[in-house]
Amino acid sequence: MASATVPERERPPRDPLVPADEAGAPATPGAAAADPDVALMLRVQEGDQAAFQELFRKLSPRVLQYTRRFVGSDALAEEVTQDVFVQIFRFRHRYRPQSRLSTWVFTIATNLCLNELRRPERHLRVDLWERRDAEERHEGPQLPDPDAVTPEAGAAGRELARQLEVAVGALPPKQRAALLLSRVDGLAYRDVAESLGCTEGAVKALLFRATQTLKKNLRDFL
Amino acid sequence: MRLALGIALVALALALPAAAQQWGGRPWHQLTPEEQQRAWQNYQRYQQLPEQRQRMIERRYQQFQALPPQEQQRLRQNYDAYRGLDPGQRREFVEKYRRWKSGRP
Amino acid sequence: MRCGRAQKHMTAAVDGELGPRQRGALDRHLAGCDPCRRELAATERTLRALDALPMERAVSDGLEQTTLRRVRLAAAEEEERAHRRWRLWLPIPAFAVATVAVLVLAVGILTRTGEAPAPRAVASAPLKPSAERLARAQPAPPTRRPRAEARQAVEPPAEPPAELAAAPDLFMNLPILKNMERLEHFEAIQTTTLDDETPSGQAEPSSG
Repeated sequence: MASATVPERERPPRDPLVPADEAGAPATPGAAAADPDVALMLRVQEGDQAAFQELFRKLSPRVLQYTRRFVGSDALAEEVTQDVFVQIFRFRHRYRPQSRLSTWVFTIATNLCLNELRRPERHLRVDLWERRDAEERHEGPQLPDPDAVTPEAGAAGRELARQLEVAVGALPPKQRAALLLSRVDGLAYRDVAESLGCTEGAVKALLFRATQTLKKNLRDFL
Repeated sequence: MRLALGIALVALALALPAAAQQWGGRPWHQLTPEEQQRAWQNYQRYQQLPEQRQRMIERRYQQFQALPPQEQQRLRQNYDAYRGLDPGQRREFVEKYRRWKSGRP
Repeated sequence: MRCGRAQKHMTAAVDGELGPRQRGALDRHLAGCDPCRRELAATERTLRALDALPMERAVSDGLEQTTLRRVRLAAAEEEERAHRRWRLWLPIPAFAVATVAVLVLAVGILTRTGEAPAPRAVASAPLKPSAERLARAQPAPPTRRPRAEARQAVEPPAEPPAELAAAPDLFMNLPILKNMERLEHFEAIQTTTLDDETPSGQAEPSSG
């Protein structure tokens, strides 16, 4: 009987010097220095303002999408994204180039998002604020719809995407964090564990539960 | 004497404020005295506003900065025109604004 | 490997995060278990669908500018703190240090020229009773100086607060920002008619 092989997603290659079960192990300094994001961050640490702006432009689209999926509100996502980059600046000297910049940045983003979700009154204030802002709405420059799907995607695909977003937003915060982090380009489970401050085993358990919930809720669409 | 002069120089050097590094934007010291005065007075008014209103102003500032220069200039001109109204005209303008707003969808 | 354990490994397996030993065990289980193979396919479809969602969101100029402004503010606050720490190295304010320096210079000049303060001038000053002297030395009772206070509020400080220094144009344009809607639709508002106005803009004569 032929054994069924498990199709694997493209993952970033593991550092051959790092054992698979060792979480948080540092990459070689040479590898980190070759990462252009790390090089930018090192310039930020030296006080290069242009480098910070460049880093913002590079990372903010991913961070904004991440926070938007996490906190579920446009206005709140923008505020949290601002907070993320202010924290990146304030604690720039704490970043060590031995670890991936994405891991560090998304750790900050995750902590700030989790903090926001723990503050239900913040949601209420934001809702009121948005309502009041809507009352005083004035014409302003229209921004492109970030959720616009390409013309090639069928209606079924759009509906699946919409249901997925809703389902992810309904997950418990830690499961949502683990799932979203695991989809961030370049993050391995050990990086997710480092971001969440837990073990790789705990990350696998969180992802298992999250995936089970998604499969159950999206059975009709998948 | 040389020692006294040396101490004086050191003291003067310590008394001078450290040079400020700027992170973009027009630095404070490049504003005219009138602009600095206006900004300072408005800053004091801004501090009195509730936090929610401060946030709204910050969002409007984002939107204002995103407007094309001619549109920003148009708003400034309208503001000057508004300031040029006498008290009676201003009351009428406020009434008209309320009427105009109530008629909007 | 049983089905329960196999299913727990599926997400990690699809993501390539399973060690070789566990992957081998899972593969052997899947070879003989149809339901788990179907479950694995569903897991894969779910994760592929997730990965197909856009990973980036357009960032507006406004968001960028607000963020950079907040970072400028944080930078200004850092410099202010560093500046204060630098001044705290001296136990006395810097202007007092400058005063001391001037005195040192003065003493240095005076001792070189050999001049000394005339003791006779001091001694010739009549000694007043201490209470009377104290009374004369008392400062005048504070009077209301509204003009001086108003001047103080109007004049900007030599070193503005960090928030103001970081974005002076926000505060210069504050009245415009507060009235933005009215200013954007100024012309339309001006041409709005009120109920008691005729289309020509004149009020209707009252009855009675």
